Amino acid sequence: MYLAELVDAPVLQAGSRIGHVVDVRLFVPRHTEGQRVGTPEVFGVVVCPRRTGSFLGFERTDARAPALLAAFFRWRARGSFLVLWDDLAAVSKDAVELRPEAMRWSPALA
Amino acid sequence: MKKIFAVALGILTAIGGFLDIGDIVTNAVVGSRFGWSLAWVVVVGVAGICVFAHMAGKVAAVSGRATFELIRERLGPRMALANLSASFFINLLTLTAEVGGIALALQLASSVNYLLWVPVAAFAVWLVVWRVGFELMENVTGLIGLLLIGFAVAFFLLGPDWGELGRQAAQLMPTQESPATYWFYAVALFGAALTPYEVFFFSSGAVEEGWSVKDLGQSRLNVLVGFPLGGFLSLAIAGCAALALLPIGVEVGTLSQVVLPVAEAGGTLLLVAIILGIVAATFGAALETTLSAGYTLAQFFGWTWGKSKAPAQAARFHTTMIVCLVIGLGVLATGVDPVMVTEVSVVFSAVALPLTYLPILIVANDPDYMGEHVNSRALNVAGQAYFGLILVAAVAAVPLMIVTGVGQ
Repeated sequence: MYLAELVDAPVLQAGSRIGHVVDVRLFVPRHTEGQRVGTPEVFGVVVCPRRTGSFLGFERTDARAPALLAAFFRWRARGSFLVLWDDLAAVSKDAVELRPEAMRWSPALA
Repeated sequence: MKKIFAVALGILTAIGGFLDIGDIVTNAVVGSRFGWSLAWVVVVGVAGICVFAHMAGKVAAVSGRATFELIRERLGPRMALANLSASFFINLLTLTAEVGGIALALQLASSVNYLLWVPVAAFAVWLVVWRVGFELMENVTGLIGLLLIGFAVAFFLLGPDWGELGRQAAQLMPTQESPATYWFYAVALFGAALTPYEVFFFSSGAVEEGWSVKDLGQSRLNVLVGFPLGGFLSLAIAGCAALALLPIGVEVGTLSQVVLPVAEAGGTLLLVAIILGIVAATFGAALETTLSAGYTLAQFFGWTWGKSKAPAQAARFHTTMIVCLVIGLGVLATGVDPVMVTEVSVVFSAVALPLTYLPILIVANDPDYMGEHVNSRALNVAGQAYFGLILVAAVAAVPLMIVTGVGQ
């Protein structure tokens, strides 16, 4: 399965649909000199209540300009949250199922 | 001294490169029907292309990346593919219009039917794309294109009635035409000034020429001085039509009518200069759109691209350009009026513009790409205001085209 197939998949929790996968977050072990090296690992998926598509980079907290566009794209992605990979109960390209106790983290990137 | 020469050359080629068949035809049509009452659109459009090209040039020089690489990276492959399809189609339409423009100009010069010139023009474009170096190509077409200054000469020789022109410019809505037609031509002029290919070409050309941060000053000068002077020539084209054709009720529908005021004011010599200028400007734009077709596709799919690369090294890039020229040739061979193709292409340019403008505006603000060279606050105010304007023009374009029957 390709990771790209996960994007747009419906997200279910306790039998009801709560949104769609809009992004997949990877973690790359950080080298001491600030260079990112090593094999990337899937960290979690970002879920949005609506099918809004990409954040266009505005998920980063330092991306604040141009102000109107940043505000618009943040508003469009409102209610999005990050779910860690370990909190997923089942994964296929047709649907992603969250564990009932899955934590919802902020999708913002520092 | 060498530096001053390089700066001057950059500006001069930007003036010649600004005008293409879309600007020439649309400004003449508008001048013959509305006088200078749409002159404000040229001013707004030129300021817009300055903002857009300045950001695109800056992104290319600082990040070393071209437009469609960034679009794919920022929008994701799926949305970027929709974007690519629309942009590629509009570019193909513009390419067809430019090749038609070369052929029409050659018909004026030779009295040989333009349909016979179309294959010659397309073949010459391909030959230059294949064999001639990037800078030589840009400088020669840009400098010969400067002969279009003849429109400004003709404008002054016609003895402009400044009071009347001023009255037209101040009068926003002439009574003899319907508001829908007026706004249709406003969108068309805006699309002619802000053609998407100009930006693909400008930023990919910057990558081809290996621009870096230290070339930012030159890039800014080319854009901020060269484009407004090109806009001045646009106003002169509209002004010529307003002075010579509007009073006698001739609505421009052919290229020979575009140059009619020039022949009237300046005689054969000026006419020859203008025709040569039109050939150079449309030829330059045909080269730029042909290359843009290759650039957009190759950058999106990650193929090797670049004019400096031989066909064997960048086979898909060169094949794309040949195929696009053949398609343009096929469209023109049906006998469709190139002036009509031009009018449609500038309107669809306006439709497709937000697709390339938005990613450039976003990336120009991204410190990961731009470091300290992110947009200033003032540039963002202008950039966002123009984005609003571009969206309005894009949404209004097709309904206005349908309501007015392409401005009839």
